[in-house]
Amino acid sequence: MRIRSDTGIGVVLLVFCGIMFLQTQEIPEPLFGSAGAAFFPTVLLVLLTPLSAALFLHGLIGDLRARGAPAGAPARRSFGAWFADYRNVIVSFLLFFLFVALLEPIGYMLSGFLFLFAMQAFLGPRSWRKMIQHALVSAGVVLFLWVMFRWVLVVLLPEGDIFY
Amino acid sequence: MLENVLGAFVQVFQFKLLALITVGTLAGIVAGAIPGFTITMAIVLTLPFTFGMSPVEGLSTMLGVFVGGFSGGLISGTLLGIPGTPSSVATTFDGFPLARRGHPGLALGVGVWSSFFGGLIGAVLLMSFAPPLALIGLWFGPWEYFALIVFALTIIASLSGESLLKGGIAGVLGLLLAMVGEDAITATSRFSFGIDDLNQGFSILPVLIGLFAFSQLLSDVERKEGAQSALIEAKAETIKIEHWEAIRTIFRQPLNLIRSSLIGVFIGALPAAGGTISNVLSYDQSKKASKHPEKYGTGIPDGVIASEAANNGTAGGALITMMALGIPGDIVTAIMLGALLIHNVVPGPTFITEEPMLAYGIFMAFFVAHFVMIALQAVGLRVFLKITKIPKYVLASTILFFCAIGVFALNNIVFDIWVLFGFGVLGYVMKKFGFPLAPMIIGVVLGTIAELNLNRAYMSNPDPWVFFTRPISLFFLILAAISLVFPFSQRHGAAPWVRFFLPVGLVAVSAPFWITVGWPMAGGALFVAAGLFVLWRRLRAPGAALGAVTRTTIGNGE
Repeated sequence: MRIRSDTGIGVVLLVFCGIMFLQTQEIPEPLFGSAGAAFFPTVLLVLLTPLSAALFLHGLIGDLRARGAPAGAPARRSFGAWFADYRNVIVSFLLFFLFVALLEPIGYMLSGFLFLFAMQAFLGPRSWRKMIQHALVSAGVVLFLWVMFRWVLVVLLPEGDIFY
Repeated sequence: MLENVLGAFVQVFQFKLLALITVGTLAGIVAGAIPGFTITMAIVLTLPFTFGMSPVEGLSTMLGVFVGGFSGGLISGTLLGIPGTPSSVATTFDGFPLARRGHPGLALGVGVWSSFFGGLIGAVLLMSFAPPLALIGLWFGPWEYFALIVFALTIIASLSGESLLKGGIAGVLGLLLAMVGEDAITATSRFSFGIDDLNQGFSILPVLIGLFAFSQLLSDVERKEGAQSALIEAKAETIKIEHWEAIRTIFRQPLNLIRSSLIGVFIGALPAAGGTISNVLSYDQSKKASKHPEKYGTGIPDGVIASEAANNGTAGGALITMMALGIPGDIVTAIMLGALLIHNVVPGPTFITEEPMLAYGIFMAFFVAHFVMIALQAVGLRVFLKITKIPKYVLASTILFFCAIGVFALNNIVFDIWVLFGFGVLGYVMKKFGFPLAPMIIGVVLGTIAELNLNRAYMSNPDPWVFFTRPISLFFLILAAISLVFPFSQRHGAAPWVRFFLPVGLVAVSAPFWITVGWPMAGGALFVAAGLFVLWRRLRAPGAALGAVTRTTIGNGE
């Protein structure tokens, strides 16, 4: 299921190198006796650029060979098939994104419970019994970590505008 | 010395001190086992509790946390594939596959007992050779440090898996990521793109957890049916911690254990080079010295022994420089140094002779903490094994949540959770496109230290030739060159040039010895003699190709 598109990644990396090179031009000149803040990043970019170009060429040669190959090459998949393959991962990322976005407005307790419950409800088996189990596990984990961090380790947890 | 050791023995074997070491070790194991909760954080949180204690009690408690933390990191690394601390990154390379292949008990057993033996070797060396070993660290200037880091970075070549090119790109990308934020010398902000939070750069923890945890956890739940299964499909009652088998496995390769422990102690004794470097360096050396390097990364105990013996040995090494010279080997010993200063105790070259009871008390507490650690692990591991029976989707959700909170707790800023998320996406995507993640992690960890020492070297003397005229610096650079070519020699085992690789390497390593004066030149002569001997043997057996290994399939740490 590995995606092979080294050509595209090579292009992205070369664009990245270009942007970073431009950024190094904005770094102030070094102070007397110092190599300067731009020196080491520039060295690294000088290394990364040919590596990226090599990846691009490697991918391009591979693509050209694949184009010349006879039948038997894998057919291009539809967006629907691609989404079906990565649905669990995409939804998990989305739920985590929402959890972090909601952390400051609604607080650790509510956002944590909602994230844990939504993740388990989406990824796990769906039945009323399981939903109750997921809710209990979510509440238990959120409360346990709250007690551990707040009272045992005396570490602050994000407090929301609405709730803890 | 014997009198001091006996005095320290009596001092440490009191109920209160043993209880404090036990509590500290337990806290360390738990902290180390939690991804996102570093040993440093655990030590920092322990510090306020030590204010009311005597110096030896306070330091003993902190040493318990230190020792426990190093060994605790292997639990999550082995069972979940997520290193609890950066010091156990290399443990996951073989520990996790070994557990997944149905041997979690052996993987954990080998890890715990390697930690124990590595730590004991470190403790014995700490007590015996603290002053002379620490003197080597005193010779290091920025040139030597930079050369050491260059050597450590060549590990990337070994960790690159199928594609050296992609491994190299990942490594340089990691180094570049470490450049984000203010540079350590001039405090000039770079690559922040107008985002204030980026002026301080990325915290290592969210980057590490994002790259490792997200990609691993989300790979686990990629398929619906896979997500609803347990992490390890075996009945709980069939999983037993195989202590005796683990000890036998370790004793079958004493060289690996001793070499890894010594690497750990040596790296720990160097200021600013801690377990993060030693576990990966030791793993790499173990693989290179092995007769079956192609099996590394597939789940063999050898890799676990190398990593765990080294990281616990590092603790002993870090204490050597702290106790003998008053120089912290890493951030953890820096905090311990602070704890001693709070009690008006100033470690330095005269510390051991002026305060022998306290110094040897600390040595002994470090020694005893390893026995406490093994006892607690023997009991606690059974509980941790139950984790493997929980369905992956419950485990993944809980750990993701836990990582987010752990990352927040480090600096109390939500931005760190966004960093975790960003690197989680990046790690997953990179993995899907065939990029190994371990080189990137190495780059992120070593980037800042590399830049700092390069700048210091430049400020002291802008002539780059100095790197080649200082013997220790030249020594590490030659090792780096050998290390860089080594994976190619493995891949092209049948090529004619490969048979000359080791002899030429040995002769090259002799070069730094020739630019010194006096007795080190004898070392140079030994290396040349060894090189010529190996060459003679290989020329006598023309049919035997060096390195039967044709291709490295080193684990990528993911």
